[in-house]
Amino acid sequence: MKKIRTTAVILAAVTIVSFAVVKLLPTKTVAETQRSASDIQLLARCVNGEARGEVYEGQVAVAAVILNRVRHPSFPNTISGVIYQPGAFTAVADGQINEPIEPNSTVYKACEDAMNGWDPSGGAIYYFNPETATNKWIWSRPLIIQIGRHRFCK
Amino acid sequence: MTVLAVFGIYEFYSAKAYRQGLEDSYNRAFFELTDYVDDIDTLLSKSMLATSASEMASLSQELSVQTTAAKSCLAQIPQAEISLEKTEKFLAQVGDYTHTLSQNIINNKSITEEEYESLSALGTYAAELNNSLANISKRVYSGEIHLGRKTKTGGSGVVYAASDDPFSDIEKRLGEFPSLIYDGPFSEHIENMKPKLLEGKRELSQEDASKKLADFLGAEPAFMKFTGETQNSNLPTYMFRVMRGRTEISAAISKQGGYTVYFLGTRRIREEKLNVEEATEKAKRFLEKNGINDMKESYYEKKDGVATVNFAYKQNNVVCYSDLIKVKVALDNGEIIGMESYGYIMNHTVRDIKTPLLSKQDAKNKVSRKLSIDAVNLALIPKDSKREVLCYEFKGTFGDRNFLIYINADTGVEEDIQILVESPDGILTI
Repeated sequence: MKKIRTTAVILAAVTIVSFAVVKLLPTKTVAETQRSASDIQLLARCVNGEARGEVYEGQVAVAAVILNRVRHPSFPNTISGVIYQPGAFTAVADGQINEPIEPNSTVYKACEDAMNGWDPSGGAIYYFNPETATNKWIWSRPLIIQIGRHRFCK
Repeated sequence: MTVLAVFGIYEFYSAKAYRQGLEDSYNRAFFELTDYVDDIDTLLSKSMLATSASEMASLSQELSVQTTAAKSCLAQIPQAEISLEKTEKFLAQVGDYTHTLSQNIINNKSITEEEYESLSALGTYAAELNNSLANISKRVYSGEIHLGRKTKTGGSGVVYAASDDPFSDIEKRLGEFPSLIYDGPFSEHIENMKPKLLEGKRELSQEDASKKLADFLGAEPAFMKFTGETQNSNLPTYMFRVMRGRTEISAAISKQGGYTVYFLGTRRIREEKLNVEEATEKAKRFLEKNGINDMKESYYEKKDGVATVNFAYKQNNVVCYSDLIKVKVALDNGEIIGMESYGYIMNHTVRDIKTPLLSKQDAKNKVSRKLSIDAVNLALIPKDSKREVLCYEFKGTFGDRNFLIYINADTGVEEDIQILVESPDGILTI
């Protein structure tokens, strides 16, 4: 009991913060390293449009792909830049991103987990549904893992 | 019938106007891109002849601005089936690389022969990109190419058929681009990093991994379901799913060494009974039970009945922020329902940390007088390039905000500044 009390006192007294968690973006401006509420909204709506019916793990993986792209030199450096890159996401092209999110949806939680570092996709920067993909080139990308209906690739 | 015809004609012209508007915005982005690339070409040529620190610094500043803008324009142009990843990567690295060089000069290091050669190679490619874009411009002006037009074989969204794509040529040429390794976030070495914790460890069979994971999670080995394994990854894992009580868990365990990379559990959380201190204690016990010791709790976040506590490895009195583990604790009964340890697995080793050259007081003198300092610690922080730097971590307030300032413990250079944002849900850095 005493040990727990001491730990609690120490915790209360010292608040050191880890920045590595939130330092998602390799940029120099403070503005871009912020986890803004609007980023999460946008991310959630994109995941909702792309992976509504998927298992929870699959939703986290889709969110993680978007975030992996932000960090990757070959893609735009912001969440909105990645999501709205023309042709990148069918949910953007066909308007599904604008669908309202169901009240008991798990997408917000999935996005929070992805922003906190959970990445079931194994570092993927591409994913596609093998049943519906019309783009032949995507099949040439190295496969990392398949979760639910999506194949996640490098 | 006439109504339908009129409606049809109206829609046709409407659609035509929209298409034109869209094409106009693609054209704007494209022509802006050509302007920026032209500037980049010029700036890189100049940089080859820069000798003074200030000249190089100002050139690289300009290059950073131009490449960021060019990248932004490129992102607005419809991606072809092949995608423009090499071009984007080139633009990212140019800005990044020259920025690193200018930082070196500012810190009194000169540019090496090798670095000049890399700059020269970058210059050559910038010139090639410039030429290719000029050619495409001509074809756009002549009406031969319309950016964004769907082809007959295009699927959903705006795509070209590969053969029509004017950008595929550029991508092919940039294929032979030399890989750049330097101290920046887009350097090649980052993609090729291997997990330090797994070095020399034996690879487990799927059955052994399943047993080890069940043990780690406190789940029944018989309930473990194998769901796949990752390929083409620098951290190969086996993936499993299991029901533990009322919680459904999905998890990944490393093939080498059998370290749990992450697990995510879902179940309905009932009334919150634990506070964050208790949750942190539970998380710490969980890690220690599984042989993960010397972890110091830091940042936490509380949301919807779950506390996510961040831990960093502490060696003696130095907090090593690269070795991160996050643990999720359910606040109704203290169940550990999630964990993420990618940072720990990639970076954890016992380090040879030398005594800092500067004393605490020396470092304190480098911090702005305006900051009212509350606490000082030693910390090993990763830069954008993942290189670790030993720093004194000063926590203090200025105005009504909390700050963390990192002073290099050997050189006194200010390595980083972070702002702390405290809210009822947790403490955040930005």
